[in-house]
This record gives sequence, C-alpha cells and structure tokens, in this order.
Amino acid sequence: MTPPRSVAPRPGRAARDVAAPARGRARPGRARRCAALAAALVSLAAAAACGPLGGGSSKAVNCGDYQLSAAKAKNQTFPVLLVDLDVDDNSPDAASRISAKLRPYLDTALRQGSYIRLVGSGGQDSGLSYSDCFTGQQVFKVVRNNSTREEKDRVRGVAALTTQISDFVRKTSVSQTGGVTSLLAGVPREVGTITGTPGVHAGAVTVLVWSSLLANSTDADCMNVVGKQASPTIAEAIVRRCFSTNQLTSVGSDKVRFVGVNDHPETAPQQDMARYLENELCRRLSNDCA
Amino acid sequence: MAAAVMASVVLAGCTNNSDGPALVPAPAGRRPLPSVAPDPLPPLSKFVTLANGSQVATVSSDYLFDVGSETLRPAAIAALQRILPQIRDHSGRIVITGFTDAIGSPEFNQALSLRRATAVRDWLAGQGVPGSEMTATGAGETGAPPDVANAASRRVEIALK
Repeated sequence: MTPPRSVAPRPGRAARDVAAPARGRARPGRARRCAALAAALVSLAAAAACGPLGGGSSKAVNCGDYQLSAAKAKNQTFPVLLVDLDVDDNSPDAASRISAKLRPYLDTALRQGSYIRLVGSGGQDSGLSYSDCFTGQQVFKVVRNNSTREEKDRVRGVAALTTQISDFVRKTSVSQTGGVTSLLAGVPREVGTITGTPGVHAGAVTVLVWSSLLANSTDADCMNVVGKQASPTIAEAIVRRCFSTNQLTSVGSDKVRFVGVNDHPETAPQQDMARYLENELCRRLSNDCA
Repeated sequence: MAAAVMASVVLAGCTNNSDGPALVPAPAGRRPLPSVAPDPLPPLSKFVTLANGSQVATVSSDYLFDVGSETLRPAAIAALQRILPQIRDHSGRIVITGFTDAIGSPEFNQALSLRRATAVRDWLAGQGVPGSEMTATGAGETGAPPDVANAASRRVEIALK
C-alpha cells in the first residue's frame, strides 16, 4: 500500500501559496482546485481505512468486501475453514509469523470460496475468543465481473484478511499457563456452529491449528508436558489419556493441519516432544491429518 | 470543514463487519514453553545377536521420519552414522525392514513401511555399503496391535544376516 502523501509546497514557491488563508473573495479557479484537493484527500483517507487498499495496516477492514452476498451464495455448498489459534505470544513478531503461515490457506479460501471461522485462546485464564470478521456464517470469495479486477481484489483481500489474523493475535490476552486442549476439544462444537447456521451449506471441513502443542499447564490438562520426557512412548501415553478421558475426541474425516509446531522451540527435547505429539494426535484425531 | 464532514461520513460507513475500527493490542504476553526432559534412551538400539546368529538393530520410525513421511530427518542421519561402521564391516546380507502401527489403512501402511526401509537402504548405499548386499522390505502392520497407535510398532529393523 502506498501511504498517503503529505502536500508540500513546490520548490521556489512561497509556502503561503498553499497554506495562507483565503482573503476576500476567492477566485473561481482557486476554489475549484481547493475543492478537488479536499475531495482527493477524503478519497485517500477513505481508501486507506476501507480495506481493499488498506492491507498491511492496522486500520479496520471491511470483511464484507471479500464475502459473497447471501443471494450469490444461496444453495451453493462451500468448504469450511476452521482456524484455531493457540496464542502463546501476542508480540508483533509472533502475529506476523502466524498470519504469514495462514496466508496460503486464506488465498485458497478466497479462490474457491469458504466459510471461515476463527477461534483463539491465550491460555487457561483467557478463555476462548472469537473474531467478528471470521464468524463462519459468510462465504469468503472474491467474484468480480472483470477477471483482472477479480485477481487484484483477491490479492488485496488476502492481504487484508491476513492483517485481520495478525490483529486478532495482537488483541489476544496471553496467560502464563495453558495449551491447545480446549481448542482441539471444541472443534466439533465450532464446526457444528457453522453447519447449524440457517442458510449455510457446508462442504468439506479443514481445521487449521496453530499451536506449539507443548502445554504449560497442570495435570488436569491431558496435554500438559511440564517435566515430561521427550519420547515417543510418553507422547503416546499423553495422547492416549486425552482420548480415554474424552478430553479429546476424533473429528473423523475432517482434515486437520497442524501449523506452528516447532515454530519457536528452545531446546531439542521440546522440539522432539512437539513432533512426537503431532504424530500421535494426527493418528487419533482425524483420518486426514498432517 | 466540508471535507472533514465528508471524511467522517465515509469512514464511518466502511467499518462494518470488522474486528474494530483500529488495533488496540492486548498487554504484551508470552507463555513460557514448558520444560521437557531429554529422553535418556538412545534412539537406536545396539545390534542384538539372535539365536540364528543374525544381528538386528531396531530404530524408532518416530525418530527417523516425520509423520507419513519417508524423508530421513537430519538428526536421524546423525544417529544412523553411529552404527554405520558395524554395517560396513558386515560381509553378508543386510535386510532392512520397515514396520508401522495399525492406525490407518493397511495398504497405506504397507507402502509407507517399504518407502521408509528403502530410504534407509538408499542412505546406507550412499555411505558406501554395497547396494547389492542390501534388501529393503515393507512389513506394514505385521505384529502391531489392532487399532492402537503403538509407538513400539513404528520402527525400522536392520538385520545383518
């Protein structure tokens, strides 16, 4: 996005040519120029704040710009993208990494059309948070009459929605303990919320999970790994307990994609443990998991 | 003045269905990663001599490969290098067999176990072990308890005959 340019006097001309207040009756030509300048400034300000030109900024994005109208979506089936964010760091750097990782999925969603729902958790004390933009009740898809314009708007849409994800991360309160358990446990409920919405015709479901999978929690949380040994056998026991106590249940044929595993490990055992847990979760959560 | 009014009208009309007019970040927060202890068990077993005189080393597939993958991980290569001298010194046949657990389709597991055994064989061949002396086979779910994600079942065995 090109930032709005400030208006500076041209070299060699007095500054008062621009800044001086009008004296007496303004000449018609000058009045027209002033009006045009004001209109241009308004347009620039509006464009900067209104989404399509505003990707990458923290200004509000009108998500509706990238959604199908109810009339156009009527009676069509679209896939579902459920995004679960286990936010353990809400810094600008983390927000940028997370949103960049999700960007390709947003691109695909805008190409094929998707219901998108975003759920976040900052840990045990934070509960779940939801996005006003990605509610799962509207189809995100860019359709324009002109293919060139459609491509441009889609690219802008991906940028704007990526910014939405980044902002969501920044707004999430992070507590010192927690993990991914509540998000994974809530997948059937969240999918049910989407499919149960009147007028929604949901197709295949993809669950995108951003998490380190390393829960810093208590023993009541089946995914807690504090002080555990990084071995396949321990990871297997941890995940087995999650399913045997029904803290987690299979999502059947829904696709599950773990992103963010080993995004920022600090030690080799953490890295190994996260990988083993991903393996074990994948085997039990879904028939299509990676 | 008129421009300001126009601007506020336009701006007010473009913030529907958004996560707010501007970003108000939460207080900076970072949850520390939990401490995880290293596994005291080596990822590779030593070669064990069987009753028939063969020697077998067993390697956890979880250590060698990512889930569903047959690409050897860098850490796994470092571990395999530790048993490489003994394999090089062996003058007979070398049979590399992949195994999986019984989660997923038997056909997929059979193919995956073969691809993984082949990956280990190819790596050994690249280290100078004669390819003509090595055989890669896939045993799939053989011996794995049904419907259990059993880590011990996911392995590659290297047998020196």
